[in-house]
Amino acid sequence: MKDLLIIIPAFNEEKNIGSVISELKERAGDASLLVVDDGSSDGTGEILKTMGVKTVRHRVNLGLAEAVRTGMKYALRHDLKYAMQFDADGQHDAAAVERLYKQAVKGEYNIVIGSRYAEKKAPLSLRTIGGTMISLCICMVSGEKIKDPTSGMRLYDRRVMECFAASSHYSPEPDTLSYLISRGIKVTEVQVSMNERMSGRSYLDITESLRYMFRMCSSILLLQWIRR
Amino acid sequence: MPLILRILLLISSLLSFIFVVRRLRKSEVQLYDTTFWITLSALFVLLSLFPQIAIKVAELIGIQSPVNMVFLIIIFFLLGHCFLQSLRFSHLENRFNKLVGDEALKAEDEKQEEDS
Repeated sequence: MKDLLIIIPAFNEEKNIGSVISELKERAGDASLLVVDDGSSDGTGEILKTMGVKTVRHRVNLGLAEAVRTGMKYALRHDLKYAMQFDADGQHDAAAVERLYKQAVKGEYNIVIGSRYAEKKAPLSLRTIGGTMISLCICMVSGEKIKDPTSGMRLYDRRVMECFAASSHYSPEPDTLSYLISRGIKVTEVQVSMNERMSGRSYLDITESLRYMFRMCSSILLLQWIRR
Repeated sequence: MPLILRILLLISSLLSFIFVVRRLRKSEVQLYDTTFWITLSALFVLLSLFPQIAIKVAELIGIQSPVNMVFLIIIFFLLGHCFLQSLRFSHLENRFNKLVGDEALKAEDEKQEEDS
């Protein structure tokens, strides 16, 4: 996995980042790791220093999309073929990295999603209903069925990374996914398991989730036709 | 146009004019950003002093009450300005994001060079 960069966007994750990185070092083989410290104000930076992991630091907090974009620019500069987005909060399973990578090197797909519901059925909850709504919108626009569009574990190839690096319209979100599919990018899903957050609170509470869902659905349904 | 509206328009446009100029003097706002507000308040002063302009123009485009036309003009200008602001804000945000990201990568490059 020498041509894979694992991008770990981190914002104030001092409680989780250490274990996430040591697990990745242990289980993700020879893939390169890059933490994008997105302007953390807690001890995240100190922990990263002691762990000796490659870090790029945003001086101010720009949000997930920009952190991932910086990671992709790094991968492009270092001539890496693939980049994978991996959460710093301990939700993602390091053992899944290899499976996503294996699927990607077959060369048929540009994006491989680590999906919670590729093979398993989604349980009924507010969160999964939101995901299903977004899936439905994607299906309506692009004809493709993505079972877990909100999964934050995604592997991208160079073609997609170049899109991200070139324009701020691309973000690691379902609306960009939908747009890319309609532009001929091939997407597949690989079943993975995800943990609950190890520590801290997810940034998505109920009103946030609703707002997020509304933004995604409207972006997929309305903006796809006019964006570039 | 009713007299009371003319007086209100005159007072408020004069006040806003003074407000803008004071901000400009204190360098709180860039020179070219004030042109919009100064032009707008000048236009209102003009309209309150010479309401015949509003009446004539309203007649010309077929709006019954000149007051409505004045409102229409204000709304039109504000919407236009609002959109331009939104455009500028997006530009600024894009450039800011790019700057911070590139700076972070550059710092990493320099660190690598030092290490090697």
